[in-house]
Amino acid sequence: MKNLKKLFAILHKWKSYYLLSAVLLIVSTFFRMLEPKVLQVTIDGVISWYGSGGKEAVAITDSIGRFIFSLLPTLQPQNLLTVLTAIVLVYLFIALLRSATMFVSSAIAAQSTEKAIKRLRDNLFAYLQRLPMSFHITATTGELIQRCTGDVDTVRKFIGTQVVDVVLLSTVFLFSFGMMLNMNVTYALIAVCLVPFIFIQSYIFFKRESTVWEAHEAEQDKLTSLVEENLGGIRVVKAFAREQAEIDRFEKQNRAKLSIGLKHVDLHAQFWPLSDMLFHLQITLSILAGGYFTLNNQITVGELTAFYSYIVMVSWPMRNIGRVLSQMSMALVAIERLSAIMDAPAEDYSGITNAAVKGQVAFRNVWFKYPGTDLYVLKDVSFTVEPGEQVALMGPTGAGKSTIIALLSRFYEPEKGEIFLDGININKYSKEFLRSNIGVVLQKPFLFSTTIKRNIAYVNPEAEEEKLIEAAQAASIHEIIHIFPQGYDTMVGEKGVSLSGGQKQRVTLARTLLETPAILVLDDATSAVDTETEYDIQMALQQYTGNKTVFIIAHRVTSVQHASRIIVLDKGQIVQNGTPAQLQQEEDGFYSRIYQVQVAIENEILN
Amino acid sequence: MEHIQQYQEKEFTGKGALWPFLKRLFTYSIKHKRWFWSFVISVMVVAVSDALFPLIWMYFIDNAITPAAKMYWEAKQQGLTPQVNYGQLWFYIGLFFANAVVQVIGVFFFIRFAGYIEETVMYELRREMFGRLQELSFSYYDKSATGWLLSRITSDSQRVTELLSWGFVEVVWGITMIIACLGAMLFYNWKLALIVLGSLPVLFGISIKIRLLILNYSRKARKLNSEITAAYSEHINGIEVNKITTQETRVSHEFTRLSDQMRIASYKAAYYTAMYFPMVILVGSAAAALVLLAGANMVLAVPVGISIGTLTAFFSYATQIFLPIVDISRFYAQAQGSLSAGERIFSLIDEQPEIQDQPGAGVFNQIEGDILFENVGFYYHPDKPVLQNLNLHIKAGQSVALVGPTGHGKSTIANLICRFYEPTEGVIYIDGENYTAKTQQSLHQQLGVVLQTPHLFEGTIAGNVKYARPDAADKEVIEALELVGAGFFTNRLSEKVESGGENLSMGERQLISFARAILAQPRILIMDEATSSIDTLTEARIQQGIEHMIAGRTSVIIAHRLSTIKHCDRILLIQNGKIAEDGNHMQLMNQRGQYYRLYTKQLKHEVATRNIAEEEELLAE
Ligand SMILES: Nc1ncnc2c1ncn2[C@@H]1O[C@H](COP(=O)(O)OP(=O)(O)O)[C@@H](O)[C@H]1O
Ligand SMILES: Nc1ncnc2c1ncn2[C@@H]1O[C@H](COP(=O)(O)OP(=O)(O)O)[C@@H](O)[C@H]1O
Ligand SMILES: [Mg+2]
Ligand SMILES: [Mg+2]
Repeated sequence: MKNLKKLFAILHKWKSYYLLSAVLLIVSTFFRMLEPKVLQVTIDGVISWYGSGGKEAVAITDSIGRFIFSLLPTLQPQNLLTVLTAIVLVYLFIALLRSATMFVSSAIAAQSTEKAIKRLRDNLFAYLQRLPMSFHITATTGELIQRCTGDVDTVRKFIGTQVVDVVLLSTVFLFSFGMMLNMNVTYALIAVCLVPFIFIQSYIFFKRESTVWEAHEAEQDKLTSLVEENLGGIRVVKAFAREQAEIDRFEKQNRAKLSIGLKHVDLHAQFWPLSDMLFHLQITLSILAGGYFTLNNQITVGELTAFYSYIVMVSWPMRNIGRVLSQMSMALVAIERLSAIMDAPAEDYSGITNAAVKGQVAFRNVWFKYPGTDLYVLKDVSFTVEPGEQVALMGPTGAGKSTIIALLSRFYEPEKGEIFLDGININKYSKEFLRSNIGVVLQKPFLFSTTIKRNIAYVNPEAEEEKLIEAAQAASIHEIIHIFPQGYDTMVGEKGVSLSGGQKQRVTLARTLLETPAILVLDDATSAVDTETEYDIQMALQQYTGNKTVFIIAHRVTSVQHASRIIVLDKGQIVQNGTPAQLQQEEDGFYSRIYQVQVAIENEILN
Repeated sequence: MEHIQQYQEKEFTGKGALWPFLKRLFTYSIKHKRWFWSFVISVMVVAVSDALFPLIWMYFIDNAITPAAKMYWEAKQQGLTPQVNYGQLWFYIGLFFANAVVQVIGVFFFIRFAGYIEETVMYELRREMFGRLQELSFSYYDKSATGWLLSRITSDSQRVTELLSWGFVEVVWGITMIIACLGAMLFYNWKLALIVLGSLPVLFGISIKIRLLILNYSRKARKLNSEITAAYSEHINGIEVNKITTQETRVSHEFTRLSDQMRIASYKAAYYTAMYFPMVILVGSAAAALVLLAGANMVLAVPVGISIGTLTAFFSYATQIFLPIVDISRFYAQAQGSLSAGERIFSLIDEQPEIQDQPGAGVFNQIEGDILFENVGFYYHPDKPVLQNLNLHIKAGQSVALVGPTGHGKSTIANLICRFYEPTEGVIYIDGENYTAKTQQSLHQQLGVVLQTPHLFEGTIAGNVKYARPDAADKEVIEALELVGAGFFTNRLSEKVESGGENLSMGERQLISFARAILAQPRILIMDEATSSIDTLTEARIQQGIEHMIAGRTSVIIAHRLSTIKHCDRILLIQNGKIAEDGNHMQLMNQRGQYYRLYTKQLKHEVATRNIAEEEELLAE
């Protein structure tokens, strides 16, 4: 019941409010128990007395009944109306107390639930933001979202209404059973004799429900991620005319979900009638016993009617226990899925948070492979970059260039070896501090679906207009934004769909340039930009990069021309490291080869 | 760019008419005639049997208990040993039990059929929506966020089918129950029945009033909920950006504001819900109290108005009559609340694809690849035309490069050729035939498109390369990979690719999507900056592959790097949606126009600096 404990942990500091709400609910249930008593007193105490012309009065034997009877004025032949009015008033008073306590109890429970759930949502969100990239790359986005919304809602329903239900069911059961005991012990025991069977049956159901429901959720998840995959790549689907194949794939999964859904229905269609049957059996048995006792004058007619109400009340929880258990198993599945997120190790943000970063970067014998793979992506990489240097990283696709940046930003930790910033191992810095000192333009331009302005000012939403424009100008995007009718307030659409590839890249570049940290990294940041614009950007960047350490990952010789040093990677190893002029000397090296290619083209152009 | 303002999902306010929505929704369940009617009838059986219990109880008290108890009492008075007759008792116990059995059978059937209807209709709605999503054009996806579309298929369909099944159970049960109870009461005593009847309008009034209040807040909560979903989606997708810019704390903090609004709205809804039950219970109790007052009087009246059994039966009717009303009003609220989900679903199902095959459209057989743009104009939004009056003739087998600054319409031209969008003016002919007169399928099957943003599907590397031709042999996959210079994948064919290709480097993704296009053996090849993230050497190496590919088929290549385009037969410089320059590389260079500037501005600077550097080096020596 580890999960149940987790469920309670969610209630957090609002536990005591829940307790209060439960107490009020118990009080309310107690008042509810009194209602049948009023009918009993009316029949036994009042009607029989007046009916027999004041001669015969059925004795009210139990204490609660006697108490209610004592509230009435003394019976006299002429005051029937007064007595009845008194009874009605007592009844209404009880009903009022019952309703009032019930309302306050539910309102408190609702208040605490919403607070606890808000806390859960916030925690989840913040926690997801803190989970490492390795988690996010393997996790399916759709599934994560489903958990944060659907599963949270399941938990919310559970603690909001079902925990309350459990309290309600058990008190109703205990109280009505107590009321019956108070009137007639034998009868009371008969009235609950089938309870163990109902429990056993419900428990079996609960077990089966858990497995079926888990399978159901798994199929549902598969369906969700299938649709998500499809929508994410819908343009590719259409471009290759694969619509029919996708429809077939979906149809298969949709059918799988349907059949597990029907199985789930069948399970319920088995359980409920059976449980209802037991319920009715219990009631019939009780009525039989009640009739027998009345006929043998062991209980009165009034008591029998009261008993009937209590029988229904005492069995009502049994009838609902299946529902509560079924919802509980759903909630437990939800909790487990949420725990899978909350139990994943988050990134550690502790470490040095203030230091004047100069920008010296050193890799020493760094080895690295991505978690879950067994191929080294970086092998024994060592290099040092002095503050203010402009270094170009070059090399074939998949050589490990972006990986170096990921390690430098501590998205991953090296397997062997160390990385230093200003002579201090980077794992001594807090990740937040480290990253805020490295401005990276990621290879894949990602924009948030808001305005261009808010995208550029992402790091600092309060940034002044001028600074914003300055950054945009450096990224050669200002003029274009100017042409848009809404200018900087243009919405860019989901992931920036309504901008062309080069426009997107330049907006992300401007975003990084807004706050200019000590180290600047451009990971293939201008690949989708035409050469002329790229040239403009390079010129503009000169102002920004004055004394900063700069890493440029690029493929065109023209893009790395201004670098003071070039590091060439191949298959995870550094194969060349030197100034452009030096590398040019190394015949047959990577750099001189691309240089040759380029020069050949140039010659073609210029001649 | 105004259209982008409209990008925001069309809001489904749920203020539309309830009735047409329900009517349309119910056609789905009525289609399953047998299930539907069995379901309705079994629910009615259950309700009637529920209403019968108090009656059986009444007769039981009046016929089996009171007289016997009286006799027993009288016998005792007279000092006789009382005779107890159990015959009546057994008879009524039998009745109770029979009624219970009938009810249980009813329960079995309605659970089964309600569940079947729910699951099956969900299945059908999802199938229809998904099918429609595959038909819709690019333009639809430009303005719809995928998260929204996803939730229509997942949660919206759940909401509305729940209405069809369990929601509908409640109405049918509620209505039958009310009618049966009222009928019984009127039959036995119309005066007491009137008291109970009198409570109904009050109950209904309170129910509708509070339900609507609840609905109002839960609508608000649901709207906030979708904002929360969007926030999760956006910041999970953009996690890398958040981390690299260290905005995790800020966005998490901003999120708390949203979740707080959510908390308030759902608390309000829960608050009124908490108020609802006590109120109806109170009204029910008032009715029961009146029944008690009047009923007890009638029991005692001379001649006797009603029996004790009748009194107890009326008492239980009075305390329970609010149940069906609660159920009916819940259905009403649920229907109102699902209205917007329903609108979203049906609007998707009804959405007409912007690009459709004309009735009787022919098919393209083997495409030669002659492409003709005749006075083509195009806009994504009327205010901002992208292409105007474009005339272009690409001959079969020709390879054409599109170059020019970003955002001037290169991708757009490629999209038009693929018929992902259709010209808003003018005509495009392929092999001399207006391509709108042919099916999209027959065109797309002969296209090989490498889109600007490479997208890979979750699966394996081989699976992705084979996407267009799943039956291709591994040998062909390897050939295609080698052709694009990705031979290093040969022994990684079954390696897992995460959704979107996140675990591959950018260039690798491009190479795979390039190989994918090649394996399709297309008649027309379109490459939109397909090699932008690939290093120069790999690119130089795959030039051969590209040359091989473009030989014998029409190809349109968008690229910035000269090395990529110089092999093309023809180069078009696209500027402001027009063909500014047209010719082969030499011709364009000689024109000394924009093309010349595009490629020499940088070079000149470079050569100049290089020369200076070399001179300096010389001087230094
Ligand atoms: N998240 C990841 N999980 C597993 N492998 C990865 C991941 N990211 C990249 N790789 C692999 O690591 C290698 C280096 O990738 P990367 O550094 O992105 O190359 P590039 O030099 O092109 O930037 C590639 O072979 C790639 O497939
Ligand atoms: N899906 C779209 N919706 C709205 N506008 C778009 C869309 N795609 C491109 N645009 C706009 O159309 C113009 C031409 O874009 P595009 O053809 O992608 O340029 P490029 O020459 O860079 O390929 C740009 O201004 C761009 O912002
Ligand atoms: Mg990379
Ligand atoms: Mg483009």
